[in-house]
This record gives sequence, C-alpha cells and structure tokens, in this order.
Amino acid sequence: MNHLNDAEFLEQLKTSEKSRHLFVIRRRRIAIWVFRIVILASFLLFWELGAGVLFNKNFSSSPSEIGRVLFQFAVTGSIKEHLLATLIEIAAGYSIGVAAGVSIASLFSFSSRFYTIMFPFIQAFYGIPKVALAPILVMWFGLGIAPKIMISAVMTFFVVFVNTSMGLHSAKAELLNVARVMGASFPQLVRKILIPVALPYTVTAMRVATAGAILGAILGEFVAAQKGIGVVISHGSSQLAAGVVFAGVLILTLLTLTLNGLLIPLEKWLQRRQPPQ
Amino acid sequence: MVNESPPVIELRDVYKVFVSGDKDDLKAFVALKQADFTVPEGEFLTIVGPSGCGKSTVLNLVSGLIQPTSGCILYKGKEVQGINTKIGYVTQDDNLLPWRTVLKNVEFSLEVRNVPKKERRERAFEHIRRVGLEGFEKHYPHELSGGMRKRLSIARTLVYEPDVVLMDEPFGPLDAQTRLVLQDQLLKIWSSGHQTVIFITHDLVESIALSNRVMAMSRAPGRIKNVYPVAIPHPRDVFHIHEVKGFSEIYDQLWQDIREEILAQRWSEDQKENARESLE
Repeated sequence: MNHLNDAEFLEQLKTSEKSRHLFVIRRRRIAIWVFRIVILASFLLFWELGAGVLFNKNFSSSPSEIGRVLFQFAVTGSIKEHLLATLIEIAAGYSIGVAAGVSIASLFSFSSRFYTIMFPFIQAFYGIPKVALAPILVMWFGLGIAPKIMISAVMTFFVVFVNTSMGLHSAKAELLNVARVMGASFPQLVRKILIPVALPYTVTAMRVATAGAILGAILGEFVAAQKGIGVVISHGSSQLAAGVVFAGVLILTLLTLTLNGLLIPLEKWLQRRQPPQ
Repeated sequence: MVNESPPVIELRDVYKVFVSGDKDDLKAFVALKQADFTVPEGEFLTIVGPSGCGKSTVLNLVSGLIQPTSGCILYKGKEVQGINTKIGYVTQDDNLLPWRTVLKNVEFSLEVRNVPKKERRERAFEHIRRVGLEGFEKHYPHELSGGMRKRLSIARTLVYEPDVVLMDEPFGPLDAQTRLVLQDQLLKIWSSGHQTVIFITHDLVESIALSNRVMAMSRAPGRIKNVYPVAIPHPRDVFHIHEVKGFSEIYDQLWQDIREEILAQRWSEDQKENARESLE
C-alpha cells in the first residue's frame, strides 16, 4: 500500500470512528431523556390516580386539578397582580442585593484594614436567621412591597458578597506583582486582572442567589401582604384549597428555573474563557 | 574613558530579614546576608544555590517589590524606591492571564503602558515570532504546552523592552529536552538584544551555559559565596556545552561550592534532629 492510500485509509478510519462516537453520544442522550420523562410521567400518574383513593384529595390535590387552577388563573387574569407584585419585589431586591454584594466585597478586598474592622459585624449580620428579620421589617415598613424587597436583597447580598470576596481573593499575589512590575496602576489592576478573575465567581453567585431572592420575597409575603404569589399560597392553604397552593408553588418553581436558566449561558461562556486551573 | 556610566544594578551591603508567625511566637529569618555586587549593562548573570538560600529574595529586592532591611539597591546609580517598572520579571510560575489569548497576553504590558493599539499589535506579533509562537496568537494559555507557555511568558516580558530581565527558575518545571531548546532560544534572543539578565537556576549546567558570570550562594542565611566568570565565547552551543573547553573547570568549582552547602545543610538538620531526640 502506497503512502497516498495510507493517508486516505487513515482519514476513513477517523471519519468512521467519529461517526461511531457521535452515535454513542446521541444514544446516551436519548436514553437519559427517556428515563427522565418516564420518572416524571409515572410520578404524575401515581399522583393523579392515587388522589381520592390512596390519599385525601382535599390535601393532595391532583395534577389535573392544578392544571385547572392554573388555566383559571390565566383566563381570569386573577394571578396577574400577584405575579407582578412578586416579580417587582424579586427584581428590586435582587438588583439591590447584587449591587451591594459586589461593591462591599470590592471595598473589603481593596482595603484590608476596612475588612478587619468590619468583619465581625458582617459575620454577626450573616448569623441572623433572615426569617426572623421579616416580622420586624413588616412592622417598620408596612404591608407594601418595601419589606419584601429588603429581605430579598439581604438574601441575595450574602451569596454575592461571599463569592465575590472569594473571587477577588483568588487573584494570586505573584500575578498582581508581575503586573505591577510591568507598570500597571491600581485602577488597571482592578480593571484588567481583579474583575476578570472575580467575574466567574460573581456570575455563579448571581445564578445561585436567584433562589434566595425569590425565597426572601415569598417569606415577606407570608408574614403580611396584600399581593403576591406568597399571598396566593397562604390564602389557598387557609381555605384548604390544595390545588391553589400547588399552583402557586409550581409558578415559583418555574420562576426560579427561568431566572437560573437565564444566567447559565453567561456562566458557561465565562468558564470556557477561563478554565479552572 | 573607563566605564563612566554606573552599573545597571548595584547591591550595597544588603540584608533582608523576614518576620513570620503570630504575635506570641514571632520568628525572624535572615534571608539575605551582606549581599554586595554589581551587574554591568548587557551582562547575563546566573545565580545558583541550594533551596531557600535567598535567590528569589534578590530578584524581589532588585524589582523593588520588597525593600531591604538594611543596605541599599541602586538602579543605574539611583536608589530604588518602590517598584521598578524598567525591569521585566519572569517568575517560576508563568502567571499568564488565562482569559486572554496569546496575543492579548503579550499585549497586556503594552496596554498598561498606554502604547497605542496599532503599535501594540505590531510589537506583540514581532515578539510572538521571536519566541516561535506564530500561528498560536488566537490560542488561550491552557491550550499550550508547558514549554510554549514559558515562551509566551518570556515574550510578554520582553515585549515592553525592559532594560533588565529577572528570571526566577523559568525553565524549572520543564522536561530536559524542552529546557535545552528554550535555553538555546533565550541565548539567541539575548544576543540579538541589549538586555541585562539576572537568571536564577538550580541547574549548574544551565547556569554556565547561559551566563557571563555565575554567582554561587550559600545556604540560609543567604550570602554570596563565590562568583565565577564564564569565558566561553558566544555564540554558544547549549546542546554541547559540556564538551567546550573551560566548562568542566567551572562546573567542578561550582559543584564543590554547592556540595559543601548541601552537605552542611543536611548535617545541621541531622544535628537538630539528634538534639531533639536526645531531649525526648
């Protein structure tokens, strides 16, 4: 066999091996999805058929009933004001929490003296169970959205603050020294090294914090509120309308997944540019 | 007119003491003792010595990253205060920016020096070519081999044309073949430029192959033990440097120095160990 044929043969081998590999990957992926769908479907089926037979339907509700409630929510538009209130609380609380977390973490990392002075206060603040703050905030700021925004912001703040601090700390001293010898000023170090180093940490924290932001808002609504998904859930519960409770929970779950999902591509993109070392 | 311009680097009677531990158990450690030497312009100086003998401390002092406890360091006749940005520092770890491509890594130092974009790009390309990384401009550091990362780290230091280049065991973690190739490339780059180099290494052969002078340091507290001029003419063939006349004499002397230090270090550690055992 001459060299040309040899090269051709190798190409053929590569191509066939690639397509075989692709086939295996696809088959595995399909299998995973089949399993997931089977698990979900059997869970729903068990729930649907068991409701009223195995367990009391007043408490368990059923997938079809939850669907009916959700459909009604959508048709009558009764959910709109509640959803809007919760969304506003989450958006405001989350934004404030992220902004405060990033800026205070930056302040701390730029001034170690400030960090040393403030550390015990932050730790004490972190130690407060946030649930305990809700009643006092409601007492101070009333039934409107303000106390919910605050709890939501506090829940977001700590996740973002802790992770951003870690990210800023992860910049190696030696790397910063080399950059300083190259002539980098402090603002340049911040812009060209500290921010790129800390960004993946912050974005991950921002993704994780969405759950906290939602939790904070709902917590506030449970304590006292006129509008919000939390109100829908607690009303449903007091009226023994399990379908309404589950519908509210489902809306919150979808909300969490959506917010989480929005940040995943950004996170992946940042991680691709900066592989873990 | 005999050598009127001052040496590029001069250390005058420099001591460096580091303090560590918490307040109940403070320890002071003499890292450098009475360092007194000059480096003339364009010289390639290598420093060898056992681990922990203060070699890196010398580089940190020369770059101005740390201040001497006593004595002074002069750069072109002026005392160094604060970081000296006329210097380039190639550390043992390559300290590349993983989120930047090869090209952008080389451009980094020019960016912080506010070099206009067009010139930046041209100079970066030129230095990437000099270290043989052309074609890899768009790659990220994690896509490069260890030797390539090292070359990148050298390119991004040379690109801003520092007067003095400090290198702290830059080829330490590489395999023997790659080391030789990089030594050869480094010598070629050095002879085509006009830079002064201070190069730290563990490797005696490397220290002779590259340098005009080899400085042997003692174990802690680090002090300069001997300085040997290397009279081997340039251009040098690093691949056959051990066959060159004059090589083995310097090698033997260096090895004698280092061996004494290593044995003494062992001995004092053994002695400590024995003392501890007899106490128990």
